[in-house]
Amino acid sequence: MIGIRLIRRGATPGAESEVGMLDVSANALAVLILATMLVISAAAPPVPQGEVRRDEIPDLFYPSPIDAVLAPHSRYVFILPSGLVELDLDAFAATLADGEITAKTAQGELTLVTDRRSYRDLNDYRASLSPAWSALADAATPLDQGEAAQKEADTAAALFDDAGIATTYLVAAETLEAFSPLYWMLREARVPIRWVTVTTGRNVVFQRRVEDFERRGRQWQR
Amino acid sequence: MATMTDGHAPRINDAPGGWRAAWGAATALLLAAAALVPVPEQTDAQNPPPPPPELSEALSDVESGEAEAEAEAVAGEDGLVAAGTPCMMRHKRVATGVDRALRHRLAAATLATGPDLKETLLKQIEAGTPPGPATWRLALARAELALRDGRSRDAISHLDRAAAIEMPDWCRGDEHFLRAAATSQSKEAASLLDAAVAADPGFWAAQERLAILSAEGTGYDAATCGRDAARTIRATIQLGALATHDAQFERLERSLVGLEPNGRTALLHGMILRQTGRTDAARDRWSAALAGVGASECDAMLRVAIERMLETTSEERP
Repeated sequence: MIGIRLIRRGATPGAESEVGMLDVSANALAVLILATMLVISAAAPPVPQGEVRRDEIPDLFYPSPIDAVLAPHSRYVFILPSGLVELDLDAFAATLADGEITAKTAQGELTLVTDRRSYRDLNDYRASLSPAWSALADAATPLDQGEAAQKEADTAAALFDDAGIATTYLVAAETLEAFSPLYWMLREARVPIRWVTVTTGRNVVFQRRVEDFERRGRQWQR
Repeated sequence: MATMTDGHAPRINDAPGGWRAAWGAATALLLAAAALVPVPEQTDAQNPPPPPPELSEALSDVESGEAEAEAEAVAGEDGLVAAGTPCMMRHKRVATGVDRALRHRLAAATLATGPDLKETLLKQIEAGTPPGPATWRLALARAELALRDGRSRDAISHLDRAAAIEMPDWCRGDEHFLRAAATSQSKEAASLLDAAVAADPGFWAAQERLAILSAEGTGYDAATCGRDAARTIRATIQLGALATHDAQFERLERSLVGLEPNGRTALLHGMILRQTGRTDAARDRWSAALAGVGASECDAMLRVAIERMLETTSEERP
């Protein structure tokens, strides 16, 4: 083992040199403390000034709250005994925009009524869809296997997250049970949806009228 | 520092630099500690800054009953549907005599679910329509669509076109409301919502958004906190008068679930409880909140608001 003596060559041993060393080291320590505290201060996360909004999602009612300012885009999906099938409203809308009162596609016939005597907003309407139930049933994807429900839950979640499109499920009364697993998947994933029951064989009505704004807590009908 | 040189204190004389260094270290420590302490927004609890005029006025109006009377007058307008958007849906006869064919085409565009098709259809209708209520409505629809798609700049440009068209003041409220939705700055959004409710106090969505935004807070200085408290009070009283059923208020109440409970949210929650006839619960809520209100300038404003609301409601109790 090699011993090293840290004695400066030519230094006069005595109180003065010790004091000098102490002075230097203590001052160095002070600078070190100051630097450390300043680094801590600069690197410290900003101190919350007042109230802080929680980041975690609170336990909420269902469906999850959506933007209170603007209603999302819409997507409509039938849940029928034979499975689920998406309603293509765009196909009807494109025909109706030419001024037609009625539009017909493979999914059914839609009649648009806007001749109300006392309208409020310029786009008030009542659209009555007479679905081609058998054609819809033929095109449906069976829901009895869990995979199809999971795929739909993923699609609905992705559409809402990526494109602000919220899904409305038009559930045939006799398929409530088959809809249940999908409903719970959506609920667990906190995907905002609406669902209503429809009666197979009857028309499905979409409307945008002043009374809907008062009746509904959430305005999705835009 | 005489002891450092007087020679009668050998231990000190042995280490004069140690003292200097110790003082230096202590000073450094103090300076550094001071740097760690947040900018003192704490205020003297005995001498809080005076509340801004907006808050004093709002509290006086509640005390005198003027706020409620004004809110009732707004809500009493014939045919008002406060929850409707836009102005044409809220108020009667805003845009009469608009061509039925145009309304039919606009309804078809509204029925479309695909954003691209919707935009194409709206654009086509707008192209052949002379300026007037119909073009205003189309510009607003396109602004909404742009906002939903996250195209804020396009939305503002549509709103600028809408603003150039002569329309009743109520409709200006919709423009301000959408401009508020287009900004990410809460202070700017609150000012735009102020303008929206000034243009149309019977505009439920604007009042509701303003109540929530002010409960979230748009700043922490005394003036902003006072202004936010005034907004909370005024908006809630107006919403109370406009609500046609409890479900509307329930939604507002539910919105509070997502916010950290604090003085601001307590003020709003208490106001909601008061407006729905639960004065005792409101007073309990405020009293509990007072205990937790701190000493910042912001808290001083909330304290003023809550204490005055407690005073005002003491006579309202059964």
